[in-house]
Amino acid sequence: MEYSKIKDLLDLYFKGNTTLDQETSLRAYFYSEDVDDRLEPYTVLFNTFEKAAQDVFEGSLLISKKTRFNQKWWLKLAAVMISIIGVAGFMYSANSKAIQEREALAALKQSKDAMYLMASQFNKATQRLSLVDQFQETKNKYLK
Amino acid sequence: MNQREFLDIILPIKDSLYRLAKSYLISNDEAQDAVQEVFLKLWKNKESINNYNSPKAFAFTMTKNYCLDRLKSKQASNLKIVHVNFKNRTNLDKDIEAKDEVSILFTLMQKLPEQQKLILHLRDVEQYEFSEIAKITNSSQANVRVTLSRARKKIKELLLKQYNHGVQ
Repeated sequence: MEYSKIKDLLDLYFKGNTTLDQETSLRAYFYSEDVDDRLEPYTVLFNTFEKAAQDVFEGSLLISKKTRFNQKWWLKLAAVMISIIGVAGFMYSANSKAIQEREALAALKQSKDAMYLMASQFNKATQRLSLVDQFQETKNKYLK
Repeated sequence: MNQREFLDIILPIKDSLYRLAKSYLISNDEAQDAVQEVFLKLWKNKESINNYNSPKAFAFTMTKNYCLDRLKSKQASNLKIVHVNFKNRTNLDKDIEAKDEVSILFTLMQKLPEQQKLILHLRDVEQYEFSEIAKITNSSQANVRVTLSRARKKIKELLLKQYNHGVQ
């Protein structure tokens, strides 16, 4: 392409008025070997754009890993729940055992106390019985 | 948006997103990380992507914002040395000159205001139609044209300055 035509296109380009097709032809011109000396400074511009456009993302995106995680999150949740229930259950049963033991001990103490109370009452009562004997004796003296 | 739609609409633009990220972050690795990160976010929120006007535009905006965040945090920490030039200097192969020219233009592009840079990238690298660019940048087509023209003129000015210095 001749100089004047490219120059016109360039002017349009800097005004932001070129179409994509025109820009492609500009790129093609500057990519070719015979660039007019007066337009030399712009070679870098268009070649850089051309080069930058060929850059691609290398390597792989890790989104599938995330999917697997998403599908199985409830399994993890279930495992955690089960272990929590297990531990809580164990703690609860251990706890309730201790409570039962304490209750039994308290009951034993209570019944022991009750027994002691009863025994002391019995002892008091047997002491009083001697009075009954005396009464019998005195009665026998007169009623024989 | 279900899995199928996601793979059909979002996955094909991964190269475009990568190029966009690279235009901001310069480094290949950083750009790849950015795309990876953006894709994970998009994938996680794929159910709600349909709420946006254009899923594609949404992906671009997200990438752009992510890159800007990265740049901000990088400026704050100021620890990493990431630049293509850095690698090139140790790399003595034939196309070193071409590569340097490419990176020169990229550094010039970094000097543009953010919106101009984005639009220039979308038009001249990705070769999108004005209507598409307007959608992505959330502005009118006329506005896109004006911004693009300013960006191109600015680049031209910077480029000619650089070129003349090189000659003299």
